[in-house]
Amino acid sequence: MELPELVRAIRENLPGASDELVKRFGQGVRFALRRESHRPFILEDLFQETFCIALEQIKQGKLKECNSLGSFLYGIARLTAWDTNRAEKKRQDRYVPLTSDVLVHQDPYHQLQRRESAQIVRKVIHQLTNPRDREVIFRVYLAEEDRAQICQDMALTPQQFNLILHRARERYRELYLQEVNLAPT
Amino acid sequence: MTFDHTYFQKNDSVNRFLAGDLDEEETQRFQDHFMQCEHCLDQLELDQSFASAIKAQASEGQIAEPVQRRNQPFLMWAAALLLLGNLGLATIILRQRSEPQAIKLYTLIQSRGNEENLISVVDDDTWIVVRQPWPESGETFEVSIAREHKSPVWRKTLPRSGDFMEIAIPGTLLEQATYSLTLRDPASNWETAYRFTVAHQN
Repeated sequence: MELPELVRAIRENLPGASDELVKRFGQGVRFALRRESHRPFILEDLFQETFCIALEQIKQGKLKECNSLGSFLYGIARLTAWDTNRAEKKRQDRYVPLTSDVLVHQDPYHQLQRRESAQIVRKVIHQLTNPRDREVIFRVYLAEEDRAQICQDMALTPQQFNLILHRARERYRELYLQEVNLAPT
Repeated sequence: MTFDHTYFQKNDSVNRFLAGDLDEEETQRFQDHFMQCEHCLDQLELDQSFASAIKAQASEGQIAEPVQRRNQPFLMWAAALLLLGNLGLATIILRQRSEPQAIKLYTLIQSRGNEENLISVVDDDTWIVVRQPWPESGETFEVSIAREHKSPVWRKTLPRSGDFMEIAIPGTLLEQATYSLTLRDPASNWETAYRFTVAHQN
């Protein structure tokens, strides 16, 4: 189903239209919420809220360009996340906050296992035997420097630069999947 | 110019988006694309996860240090803790295992008289854990931590889910002091508390 057809189906309340929207954009909305929200353990609530708002706005004709449905949904997800971030901050500002690192979650062991991903990255960094590769990782992810500047400073072509990042990410993915497969259920 | 998958791959749009290097038009076009593209989303999620993990390591000041994998003793211990928890609140027993390079979990016990939970925080891998069966009724609960005779330093709302409410607090986040962690149902005034003292050993 093309996007204009999907939008028309939503506006006309046709059966299955909202399910189709969620099916096509669900992963994207989850990515947007994980990226923008400081409260990952209410992700499912934010997910539901995002689609409720999106469906309402589509029916009200607020989506001007059907082919921009992706960015439209990303924008709603971001605003939904920001609203809850702000509300939570206001509430916590009433007390002396410890830190956002304090975990209150239904599954603290899941949260602790997320810390394992940070330990995995240590292995990845350790396995970068070339000091130049480590420097690229540090400058990209920690110093958040401009990539073109890094290439210029280090006399790297964009292809060499991308290859370094690609190798590190792929190694991270391999190790992460190994950890997930080894963890008891 | 066609803004399709090939274009975005060729222009390294994934990395540039995460770095905030795309202009407004490129950002919108890339969002329009990746929100429906499983391949791009997988790349975005992986790189986002990798970047977060590196920053987490850097904030602990350990990014240059290779470390032995430490989680297996912890995972075995976590499984044992879950089994203990199934015996009910009255029999949740404070256990401390201190193994070299293992995550240390202190499970709080109910305050009785002068008994206290003494938490010795040695390093970043010391965690204070509360595992409490839900009361029979109530849907939303408040968790708060307060120093003795003082206002709460932290408070959170916890919706009911699963068989237990579980809370984990990194020991390094609390100063040396005696605290009370209180769980309360505002609707029924059900309340229970754990008293504990934090001491830093470094």
